[in-house]
Amino acid sequence: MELASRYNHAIDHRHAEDWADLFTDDGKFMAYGECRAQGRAQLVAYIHKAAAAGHKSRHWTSNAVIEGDGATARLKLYVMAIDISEGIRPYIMGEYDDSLVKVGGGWKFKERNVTLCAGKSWTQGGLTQHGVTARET
Amino acid sequence: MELSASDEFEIIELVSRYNYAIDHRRAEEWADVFSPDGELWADGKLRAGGRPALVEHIHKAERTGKKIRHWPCNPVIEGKDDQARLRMYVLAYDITDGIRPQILAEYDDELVKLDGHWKFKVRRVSACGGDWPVHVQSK
Amino acid sequence: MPLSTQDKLEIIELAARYSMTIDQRMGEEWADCFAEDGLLISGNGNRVEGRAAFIEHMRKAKASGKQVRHWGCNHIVEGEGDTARLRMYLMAVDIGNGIAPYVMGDYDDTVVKVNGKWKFKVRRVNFSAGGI
Repeated sequence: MELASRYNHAIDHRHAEDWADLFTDDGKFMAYGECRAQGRAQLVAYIHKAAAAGHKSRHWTSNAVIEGDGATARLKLYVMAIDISEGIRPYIMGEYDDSLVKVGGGWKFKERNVTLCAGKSWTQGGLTQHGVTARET
Repeated sequence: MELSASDEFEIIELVSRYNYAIDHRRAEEWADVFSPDGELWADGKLRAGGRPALVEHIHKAERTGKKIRHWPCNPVIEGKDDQARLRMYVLAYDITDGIRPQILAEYDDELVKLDGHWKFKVRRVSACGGDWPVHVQSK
Repeated sequence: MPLSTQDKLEIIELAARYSMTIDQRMGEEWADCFAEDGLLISGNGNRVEGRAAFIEHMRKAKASGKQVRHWGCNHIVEGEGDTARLRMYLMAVDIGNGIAPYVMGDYDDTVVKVNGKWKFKVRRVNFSAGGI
């Protein structure tokens, strides 16, 4: 669960290297059925892209369910992304279903997979600056 | 005997399972997180007691057509041996159309360990902001 | 000695008790979350220090009539022996009329173990959105 917290701190503060550290070398980030980044270089670039977009957001996670053995695990979580560029506005709600592996004594994401329950992500125009669906709440 | 760290983790995970099952309207799975005589109370009223009533509670929620997501927070767990008290917050969002906070409430629950697994014996929820979802209001 | 899972759970639970007691305006119990020389540095720069000041702070909060709930998430606990650092997110929600988040912030705390119990030595919050 602390791995998931570190993920949220790193993505929200745009710490690209720290964020990439949470994945295995071949780690993969899947969003809504599409691969957004795989491998360290692409993962780092993903955060730089988010930073360049200029919005401020905070990721909240909750409802962790962990299944697995000592070497691999499956983690399920709720996620809510909240736009804090202007006011405090949840703009996306989704669920993670992740594969984790233990590497050198610590857990890493092998594959992080997020599905959407409500709202739209920043890449789909769910944020004020990106137009379209602003103020849907 | 004091509760162990793994007891506490198991109780926190039971809450997660409760929320997944209620939000995805999986009635049998939701009833499984309660003891067979488990009860759900909301604002001092018994809403469902015993497995058939618990299963029906979810079917009723499903019929409203609303999509809800429960967000728990601040668990405080006390207890010993096979009995525990759990207090926590919950913020439920209506996500049927957009993302709208529906209700903010607090739980004060009794749990029991049956055959090595923690279950809710009595789950008591009290509203402190917002409104109950339709299926709870209409009782 | 690195922190045990039990220590980490106790520290996360301390943060939950902090939220519950502040929301219920329980001055004594809230002050109990801090060490004797505990210090709170709020997002607007306000400092509250020492038990008497904590109790007075809560009395004022109660008198204001404001109804709030504090949400915590994303806990990261690091430390050794009797000292730890806790980082976590805060969302404060006004429930006086509907449900309105009014502050989002990040805590960065120093927690110490005193007579076998974890307490806040310094609780520091930076607001990332909203304010009080």
